[in-house]
Amino acid sequence: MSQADSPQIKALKERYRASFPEKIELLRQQCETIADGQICSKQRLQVNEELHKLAGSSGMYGYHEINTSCREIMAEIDVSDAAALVPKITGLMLLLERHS
Amino acid sequence: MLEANLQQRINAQLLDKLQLAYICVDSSMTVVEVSDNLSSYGYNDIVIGANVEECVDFMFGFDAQTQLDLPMVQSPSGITISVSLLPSDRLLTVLISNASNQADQRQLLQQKANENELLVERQEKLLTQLEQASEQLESKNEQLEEASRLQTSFLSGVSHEFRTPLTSIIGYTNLVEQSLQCPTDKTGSDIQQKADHLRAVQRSSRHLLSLVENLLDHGKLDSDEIMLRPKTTNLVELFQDVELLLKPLSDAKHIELTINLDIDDSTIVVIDDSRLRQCLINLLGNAVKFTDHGSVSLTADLSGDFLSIKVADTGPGISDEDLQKIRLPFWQAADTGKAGTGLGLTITERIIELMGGELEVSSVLSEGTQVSFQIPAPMLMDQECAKVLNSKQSLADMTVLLAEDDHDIAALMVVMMAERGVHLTHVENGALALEAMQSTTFDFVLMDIHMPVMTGYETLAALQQANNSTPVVIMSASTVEAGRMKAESLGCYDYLIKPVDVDDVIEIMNHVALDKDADHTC
Repeated sequence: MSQADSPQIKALKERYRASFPEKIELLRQQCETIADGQICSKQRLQVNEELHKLAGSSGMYGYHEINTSCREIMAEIDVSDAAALVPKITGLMLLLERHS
Repeated sequence: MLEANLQQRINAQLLDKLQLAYICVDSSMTVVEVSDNLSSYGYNDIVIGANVEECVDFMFGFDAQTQLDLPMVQSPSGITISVSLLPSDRLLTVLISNASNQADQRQLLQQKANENELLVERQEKLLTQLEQASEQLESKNEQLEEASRLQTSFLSGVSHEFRTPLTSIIGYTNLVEQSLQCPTDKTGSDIQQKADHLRAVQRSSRHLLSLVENLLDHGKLDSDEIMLRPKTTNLVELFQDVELLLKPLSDAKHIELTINLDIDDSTIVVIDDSRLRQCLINLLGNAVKFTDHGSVSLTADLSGDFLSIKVADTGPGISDEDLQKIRLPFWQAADTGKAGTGLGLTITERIIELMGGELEVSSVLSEGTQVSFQIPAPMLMDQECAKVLNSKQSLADMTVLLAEDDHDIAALMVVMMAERGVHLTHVENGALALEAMQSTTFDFVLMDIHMPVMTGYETLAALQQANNSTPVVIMSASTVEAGRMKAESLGCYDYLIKPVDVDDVIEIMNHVALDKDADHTC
């Protein structure tokens, strides 16, 4: 796939990859807010927003594993409690870490 | 009196006690004697010397020799009486007794008999219903047993189907991981080998994905969620795509795969190409899977806006008994040893029905199977075809607006579309999109759903209210069908799920360009 990428696309992909630490930090903050065991509907919405954005962009940039992980968490976000969500978001952070 | 008075003979008190009254008549039917209590039955006008036939209704037509019992007679006072005609040498005694009790009892008996009859009738009806219910239960039970058998067979089939590619993925990724841990060999052959392993992983992953898609499609078909999206389609290109996809499978089994088309290369029809492709892959895939020797062929022709397709194979064929079952979901032939979900044909049949066709299957054991169907495929006129084929040239002239709040996605879309000759104007939310559309006329809009300030849905609603017919294509990361339906109800032109393939966007733009040209022509 990368053979066909133009220099401009390559640069964009690099810029996107470079934004992973920032995305990890955002996810870490989300984890912190829900780590005390309670998660309200507003927090669920915020986490879902972050995941939704990450799902869209990561898929577009070819990070299908990250995209899938986001979708999996989004599918469970309304029914999972904080104790179940935190390890999954942590798993997503590790994925981002691995690619950054 | 020649005879002693009857009343005296049998004691008047006793007659009263027994509620017996009498009339004695001679041979000429003249009343010669009556009991005093006769009036209690309403016979008040019977006098000695009168003709009994004239004053007692029930005596009309009888003579003095008649011996008879009349069990239920209505007396003038309304009492039910029992009458006995008792002839003797010279006299006929008409003995009248109260039969009210008997009548009541008889009525009671009759009522009981009627009730019994009703009960019997009801019982018979209940028995019939019970029998029917029992038959229905038996049939349901058989269906449940069949469903359970199919489910078990499905679970075992699907587990097998999943296990095979998963085993392959685990195996090949292990090999790649091991080679990464011991990077001693950096030769070209090692790199080639890793690439081969990764390709095998990709193949297996794609196979898994198609299995999951089949399962999802079946669920959607069950809940009527699948909608057709007809597009202008070059049929020959579509068949060539399918042939390219299936050829490696048939080659691997040394089976000849032929596609015979009686369709012009430049023919463009309006059809849901992705669903047709899915049906053809299912049918040809089945034919190749079950054919171990010989050939598989697809014949297609287009006439009068109808596309006829026939897939024939030289496989083992299907028995008449199995032919009745092949359309059932999860059904798989027991003795073939071929794995699968048993959903392909069910899904194909339902999609063909949605397209307005009917799937026909005929088969001869040991000779092969033929599957055919005919679906509407309206052809575009030559001029319109030319427009489709040339529409790529007009893309560069199109003004396109992108409403996307994610800068990473927007930047990528802008560059990728520019590389395809399309210039995008980018805005960050729906409100800015509406503002831009007021100052500039856009031919095409690409829009995200989740945006700050004004969402994609709100923007679509505003455009609908303003009667703005600019084609808007939604790009959303949400796979929820309800989202697509909502956007469609608000008039979106198409709905793409992120990650969006820019070539899909280009294809949609071609259709938009074609529609625009058609409008201008009109």
